[in-house]
Amino acid sequence: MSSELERRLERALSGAPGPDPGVSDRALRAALEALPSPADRRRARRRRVALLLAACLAAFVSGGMTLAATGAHLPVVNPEPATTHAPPAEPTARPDASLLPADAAIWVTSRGRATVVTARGTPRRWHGRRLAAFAASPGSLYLVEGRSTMLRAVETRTGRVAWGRGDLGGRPVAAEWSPFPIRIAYVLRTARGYTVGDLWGTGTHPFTVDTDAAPVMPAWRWDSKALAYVTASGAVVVHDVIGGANHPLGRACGIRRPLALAFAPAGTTLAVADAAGRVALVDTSGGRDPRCLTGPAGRPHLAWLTRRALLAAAGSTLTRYGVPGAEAAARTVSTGRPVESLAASPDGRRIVIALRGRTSTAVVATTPPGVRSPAPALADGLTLLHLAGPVQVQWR
Amino acid sequence: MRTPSDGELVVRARDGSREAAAELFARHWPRAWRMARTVTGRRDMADDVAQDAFERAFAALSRFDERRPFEPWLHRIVVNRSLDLLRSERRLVGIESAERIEGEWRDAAAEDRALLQAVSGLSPQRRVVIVLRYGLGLPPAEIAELLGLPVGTIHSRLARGLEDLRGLEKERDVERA
Repeated sequence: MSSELERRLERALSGAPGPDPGVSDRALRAALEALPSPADRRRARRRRVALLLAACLAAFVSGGMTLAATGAHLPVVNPEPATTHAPPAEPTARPDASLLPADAAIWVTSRGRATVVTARGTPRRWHGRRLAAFAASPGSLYLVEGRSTMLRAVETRTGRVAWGRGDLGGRPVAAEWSPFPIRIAYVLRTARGYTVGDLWGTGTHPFTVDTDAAPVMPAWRWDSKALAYVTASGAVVVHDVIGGANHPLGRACGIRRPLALAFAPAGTTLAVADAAGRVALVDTSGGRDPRCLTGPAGRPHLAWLTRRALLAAAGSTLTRYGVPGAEAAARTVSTGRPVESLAASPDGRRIVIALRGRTSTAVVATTPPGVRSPAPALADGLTLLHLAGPVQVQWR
Repeated sequence: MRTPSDGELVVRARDGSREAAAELFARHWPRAWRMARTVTGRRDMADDVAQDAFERAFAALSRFDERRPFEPWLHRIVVNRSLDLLRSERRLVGIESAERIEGEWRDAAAEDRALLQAVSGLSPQRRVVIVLRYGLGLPPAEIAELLGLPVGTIHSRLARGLEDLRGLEKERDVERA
């Protein structure tokens, strides 16, 4: 017999309205798109026949061999999945545990090739294929790779390709996983310029955010529900990935051509930097006026250590901004060589920095400068790799 | 003219008939969406989950045995996708805020909204059986098949879910007093 509570539950839960007609139409189109095409069906049929023949042949050969050897059980199929990845590269350095915690994974891309450095072993070339875009997911569970017009995700542990898409409408040139690895933002090079889009971590639901974007890496908000990007005209826009709305931010602190964006690890503050050394801390919820910071000029790289500590690299300098209240404290140290890329560890206690030399670029793990530290230069760190060409680093 | 069965539509859709696929969609979309909505409690999530479930189902039609019923298979995909998304959302924002519930279920009476808020605060395991049982009217045996769990587990989760809700209702009454 149903109780009063159960009757109320039935009434409350069954009172939901139906889907919007627009949503239904869009879903129907997407579902029909997902139907295998006749060519896919023919390919699948051919693949099934080929697999069947291969399986019969393998069973005949190995079964016969095993039976000949043991006269008993059928052979065990190799459980190791097939991988397209090349053997690991030769070791170049052994990392120090104090600068690389056990769970650290530093991904370095240079000339389209990715290498991973962990505390467990020596640097390892991920594979030899040249990539135009590369991003590791938080925790390094998956990698997303862009090559030609294809974007695909690979499971790091097994090398299995989780999904691939070649229908995004351009050549992927940058990708970034959201902090909770449920979405991926990407930048495409198209005939018209650059397009920013996002899709689910499952490779489904691609969405074109803006077809008139600038080639600047988009930044995810900590809750993975919004991303910031730069338009071709230099405006910074926050895109709400849940509702689909775009919220342009006003030009802050005189920045007309933003070159780096970074959301704080909590809250709604977005750091925007340009090549003149200007850094604007913008409250994207519109609650406070932008806070303007000024540092050395040069191509900027941003990394938040905590919600109150921001690192900005430009030229051969690294500046730590402490933002405890209305006044921002700053400390600039010399890096000795031009900074090519910068990333903070997930706990914000360490950084990895790419420093360009005359013949190669050094990738160094070190500690960030303290805001009150008197040291004029970046602390000596551990050189993980030397690579030729432009280098990008990610700490996952 | 005889209405084609789901199995017949699946076979035709698999052979490339978009009309058959559209018919299959029209037949099952409203209920799949409603299931996603009741499990997730949110329209935006329901839109994504139901669409994703259909995309997955249609992409996998070649592997589907048309002799088996289509709807439970689709609903299993919907429920699993809903739970996946809820788990990731919970990691994101924790228990949904009262404001969101107010916004999502603004058509419901105030008393019902309070109850829906309490439902959204249940653990995903208890919440899903409560909404499938009372929101969609599925019998425990069907819920068990849908979730791949023993019927006894469904009964126990239903009982515990109702117990949690009664506790939350009592707390609310005390606060009001």
